[in-house]
Amino acid sequence: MTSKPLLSVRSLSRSFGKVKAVSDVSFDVERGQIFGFIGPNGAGKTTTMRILATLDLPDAGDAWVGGHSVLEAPRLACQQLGFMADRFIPYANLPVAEFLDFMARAYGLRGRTRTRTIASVVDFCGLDEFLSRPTTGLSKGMAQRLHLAKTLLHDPGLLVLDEPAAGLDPRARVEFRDLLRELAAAGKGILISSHLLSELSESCDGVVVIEQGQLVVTGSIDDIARQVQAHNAILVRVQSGLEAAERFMLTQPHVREVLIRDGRLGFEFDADDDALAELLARLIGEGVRVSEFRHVEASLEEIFLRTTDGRLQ
Amino acid sequence: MSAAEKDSLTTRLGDRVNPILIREVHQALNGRGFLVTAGLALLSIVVIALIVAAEDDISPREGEFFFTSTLMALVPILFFIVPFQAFLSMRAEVGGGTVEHLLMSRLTPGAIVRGKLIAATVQFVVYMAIFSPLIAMTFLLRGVDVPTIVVMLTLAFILALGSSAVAVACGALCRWKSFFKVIPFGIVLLGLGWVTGGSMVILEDIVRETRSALAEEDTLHWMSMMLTPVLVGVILCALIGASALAHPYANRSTAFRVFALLGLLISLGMALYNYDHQAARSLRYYLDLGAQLSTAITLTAVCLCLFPFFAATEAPRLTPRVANSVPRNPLLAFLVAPLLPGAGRGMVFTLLLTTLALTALYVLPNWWDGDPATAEAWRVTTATWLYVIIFAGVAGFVRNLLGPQPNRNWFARGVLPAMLFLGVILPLIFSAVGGRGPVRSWSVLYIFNPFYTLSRVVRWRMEGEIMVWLWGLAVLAVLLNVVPMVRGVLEVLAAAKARRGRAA
Ligand SMILES: Nc1ncnc2c1ncn2[C@@H]1O[C@H](COP(=O)(O)OP(=O)(O)OP(=O)(O)O)[C@@H](O)[C@H]1O
Ligand SMILES: [Mg+2]
Repeated sequence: MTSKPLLSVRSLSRSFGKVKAVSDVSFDVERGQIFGFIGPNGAGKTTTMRILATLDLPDAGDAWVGGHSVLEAPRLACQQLGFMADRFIPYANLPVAEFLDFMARAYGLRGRTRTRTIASVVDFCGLDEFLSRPTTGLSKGMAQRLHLAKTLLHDPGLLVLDEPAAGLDPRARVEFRDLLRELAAAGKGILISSHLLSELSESCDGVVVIEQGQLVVTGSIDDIARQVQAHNAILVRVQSGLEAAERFMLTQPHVREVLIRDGRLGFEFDADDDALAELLARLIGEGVRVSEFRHVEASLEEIFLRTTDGRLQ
Repeated sequence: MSAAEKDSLTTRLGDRVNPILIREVHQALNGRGFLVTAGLALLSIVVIALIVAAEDDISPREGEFFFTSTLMALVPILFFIVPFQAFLSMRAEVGGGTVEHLLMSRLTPGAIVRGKLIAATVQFVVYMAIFSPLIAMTFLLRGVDVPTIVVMLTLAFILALGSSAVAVACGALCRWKSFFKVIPFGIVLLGLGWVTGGSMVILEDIVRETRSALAEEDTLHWMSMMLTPVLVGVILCALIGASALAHPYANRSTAFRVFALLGLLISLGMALYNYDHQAARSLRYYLDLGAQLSTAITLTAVCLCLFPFFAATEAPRLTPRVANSVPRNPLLAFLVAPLLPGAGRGMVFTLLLTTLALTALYVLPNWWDGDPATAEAWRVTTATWLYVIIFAGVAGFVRNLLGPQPNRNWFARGVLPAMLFLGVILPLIFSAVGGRGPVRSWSVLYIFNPFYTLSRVVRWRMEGEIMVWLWGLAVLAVLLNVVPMVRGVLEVLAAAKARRGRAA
């Protein structure tokens, strides 16, 4: 059983009338991993996540959470999964403390265990000062924290978070990222959808990119970055003679897409590292004073922009 | 956990309480609605007390007036305000989406519905407690005796529970398409308004009738005959509400099928109990148990006819979730197959239910009394149940033609109104066109008009010919479903085998 991934999604499909919200999507998330789930608006992220949370049914395919199929044993799957929907719906006339108490009871936590669990999630999410506020009167950031607290109550192994950072201020976002890291370090798997890619790239181990319901690419960020960049992207900073350096580069073999951006020279190189070392030696031999010469890793944003073409559905 | 770490008894008892109830109590205490209603109730008590106090001499007549006035103030709260709040709270839960928090937790749909009903019940108790000083006063004024007070309050309580159950079920049904949101709202508003208004209008008569009935009859018998149907209705509403909340792949059929079986047994039990009660009052020689049972079983067929009909028009295949919960033991799987969802199994269930009903009519009168049911009783009961089979069979046949997708169920269910419409209207058109004038005698054209046909059977008109037709059609309806029925049972056995294979 331990060899099975924490979450595995296989050939998941779901249509709404003619709109294929999700079609034939498969990916895995392991314990302790943070996986970004990215795609343009309407790509099918929320739909996929709702199916994982057993709130919606796929037309085909299945998903296993901790080895339990969301179709065959949805209640068992649900116990292993914490789903944070894209919006928090509060109850009228219910303060934060009573809301958490209610949800903890609903998750079957009893007596001291309940009190202790609530205290620890309240502490973890920084809700201490808001316990007597009504849930309907929380700011967006506070509501997100309460939502996360509710999601953590039953100590799920897998967290499925739908745009949890939307609406948070920069400090709250940094704090939220730290919370996620702590959770992953504690061995939880996290699938998180977000449009804040720079945010994600700092905390994610891997990504799932979908567009128009179809899986574009999935895997660790490094692997994908290598796939996306078929050629080495090189960045050169020179002390002087930028134009001369550009002219020189344009005449060299294996060098393409030379351009000057922000006072730096960028190009793509499609030969091996030996050839690259020789190129650098020749550049210096030309009398160009090189102060920096490095590979550029593709950022999550680049991956996103290169793999998707921005069609909405 | 060490002894010192153990939770106190109150905490452990508190953990057993339905979380929904606890939340609703918190919400009521934090909100304004409850306080306003309770305040109004108290105000009405003061007003009633002042009116009575203004009378010069206080007589039993005032006592009775006092009692009816108290009930008048209670009725709108118990029959309208609390149930309507229960409806709104359930509707907000499913409409606003908070129910999704709950469905992902360990709460079952049944527990959610129960929680709402218990919360309503707690409110009834609270309001009755608020009014209890007034009720005690009515007794002290000697207008009303204790049994009447107890019976009236019990009646009010059970009826209020029934109203709340309907309201909660309608609230849960709001989960379906947006079009349906208006309909439950209308049903609840009109229904509760009607019950409340009606109760207030006839309240005085009810109190009087109850007093005289109590003087003559055995209270327990009388109450149980009145309250059992209401309680059965409450259970049905709870089942409907829970099934509206359930996961689409959950088993939403077995509970209804067991309910139908129990409904039949309860109706038989009530008929026997009623007969015994009359017999104890030495009316035995004027009574015919066969006829009474036949009436009970026929009425049960009428009340339960939608259950077999719905069962026979479900999506034919087992969902993965249900397939994964089939008993592993092949014999057990075979036995529970008729109770599992699916059109073919629904038809098997229909046949079993009919067999049980008719066997009861055959066995019980002999066994209880030594007298079998008369031929007339047999005919009416059999004809009614044959109609159940015919309609379920035709709709089931249509359902199986439509393919496995679950969203086809309601097309097949449209067969019932369509058949009834055609069965009633077409013969009229035929006879009008044929110039045969007003309908005098039964002809086979009327076979799909169960109302007219059954009325002929009851009146001994052409009943022999009618029965031949009904039996023929019922056999045909069963034959049309033989393949789905066999397939339905085999599918369960295959699922049981698959589970055994996985366990090994
Ligand atoms: N209940 C529904 N009924 C009809 N269509 C729906 C429904 N839910 C989603 N869709 C459609 O399915 C597609 C995918 O929607 P989804 O909400 O999964 O996208 P998303 O990736 O979460 O987008 P966003 O980034 O904007 O949140 C969209 O075209 C949407 O219109
Ligand atoms: Mg979304």
